[in-house]
Amino acid sequence: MSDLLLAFSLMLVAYVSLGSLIAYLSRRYGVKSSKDYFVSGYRLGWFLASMTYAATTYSAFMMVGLVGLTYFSGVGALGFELAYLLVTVVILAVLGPTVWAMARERGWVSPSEMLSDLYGSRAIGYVVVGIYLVAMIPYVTAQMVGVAAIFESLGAGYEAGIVVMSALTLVWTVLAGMWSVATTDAYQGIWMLSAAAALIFSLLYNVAPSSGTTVNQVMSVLSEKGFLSITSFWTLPTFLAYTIPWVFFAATNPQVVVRLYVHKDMGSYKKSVVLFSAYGFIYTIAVVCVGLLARGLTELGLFGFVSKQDSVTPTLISRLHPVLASFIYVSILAAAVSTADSIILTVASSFVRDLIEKRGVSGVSVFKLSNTVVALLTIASAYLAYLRLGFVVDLSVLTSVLLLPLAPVTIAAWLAPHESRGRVQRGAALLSLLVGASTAFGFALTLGPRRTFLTSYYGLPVSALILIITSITTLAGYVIPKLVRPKT
Amino acid sequence: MRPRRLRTPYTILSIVVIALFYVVPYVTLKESRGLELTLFWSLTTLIWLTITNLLLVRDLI
Repeated sequence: MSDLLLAFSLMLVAYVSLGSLIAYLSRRYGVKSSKDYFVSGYRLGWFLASMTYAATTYSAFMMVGLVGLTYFSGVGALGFELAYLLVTVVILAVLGPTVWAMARERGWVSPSEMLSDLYGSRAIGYVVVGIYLVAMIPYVTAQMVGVAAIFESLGAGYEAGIVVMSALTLVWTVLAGMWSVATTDAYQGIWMLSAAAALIFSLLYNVAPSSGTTVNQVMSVLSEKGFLSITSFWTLPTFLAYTIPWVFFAATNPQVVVRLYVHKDMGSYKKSVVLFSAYGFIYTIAVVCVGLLARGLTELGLFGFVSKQDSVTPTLISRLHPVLASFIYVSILAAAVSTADSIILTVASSFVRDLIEKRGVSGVSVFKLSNTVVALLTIASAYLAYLRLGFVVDLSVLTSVLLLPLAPVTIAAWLAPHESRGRVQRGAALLSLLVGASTAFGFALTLGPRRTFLTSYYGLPVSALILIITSITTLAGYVIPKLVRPKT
Repeated sequence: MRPRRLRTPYTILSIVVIALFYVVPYVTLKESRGLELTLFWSLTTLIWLTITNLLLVRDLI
């Protein structure tokens, strides 16, 4: 057994043990109803609420995908990731408090239930559940594939990675639902941020000096080679293709929408937005700096060129001390688990609330039923990861695009909840969801998910076209009744 | 709950800031090779997040 595999195994045991203890202890908060299980009975304090929001949002993409994207495309990756953060915090500040208040007043548990209630339509709830399944399961599968690939590269086996990841996702969810997910998310969020900080400090104060270079030299070469400018990769259509689906993340992704409901009071909500802003900003800057430093070292001839985007972080880590490398590898696992369990919990909430509870099915234990749905979704994702189906993993690239039709439908209803239940509004919202989702999926089937993401027509990416079509359709539903209203 | 006095101006200004976040790099900073672009995106985000949080905590938006 290599030093790295030994250190990783020990670090993994420590991470799993402490996380499992935290998840187990969270049971003391008590889970008696689906509200307790899926949204903590609206009782989360600011620290847990903000950390679960951060850890859920920032997946393994950050330390693997974003580092690689920065390495290949330069500082445009910073603009892409900060655009997401900027718009998300604006949405959280302007619309979040209203959503939080409505969730308590109307007893929302799942995001599909929210839309179903806002539009007074069960059909909308069912369509949304369908969109979640198509969009979110590939995303969870991709997280599992990423973790399994790390296990494989360390010599621990691909299948072992899937087993560890799915076991953690399952156990840390079923122990106490949102309580165990939120508490372990807080723990994992701390682990993720600490690892990113450790990596950046190691690069700045160990790797760079021991390679005989300075930060100034790295910055100079990055500037000289154009990595601090808008590179040829970041054309405006590409920047739009990356940012448009992501800036609406807070309104479209169910795992974060549900996190608007969970705060115990408005004071807690506000504090959680402040902490999330700080976390997101620091984490983003740290991760982008890692990518830029790696590229600078490559340009100086001190770090071999890495040809695959997702291999930059593993190659960089391989130069570190085994203990530090293991710490960072486990942080990637933590980022994947914290995202996957939140998604599975939320998708399960849609099943349990919209398809079972709201239909008046009685005689089943909510806790057992919820745990069964969580288990089935986890097993399905693990099986897809095991099969390594290229299309399913590729589809995860399109997750945010597939969810994009939800943006105008959701935001319009948040802004005008007293109008959204009208017949025309409801019809337009349903049409918008069906047209938007089938357009995105149709493109994915014909062009393939990766090509769809970057394909543009007349300078507009597919995501922009979907957003325009669905926004016009949704808005028409709100405007037409006003135009045709008989004068009194 | 106190009325959120600055909500409308804040929302309008946010839209302007977000638009600038896209426009400035592709119009003004396109040719810059130093830290200008990095600083523009980082400082715009940092300043607007700070303003947002201050207004939110003080119940003004």
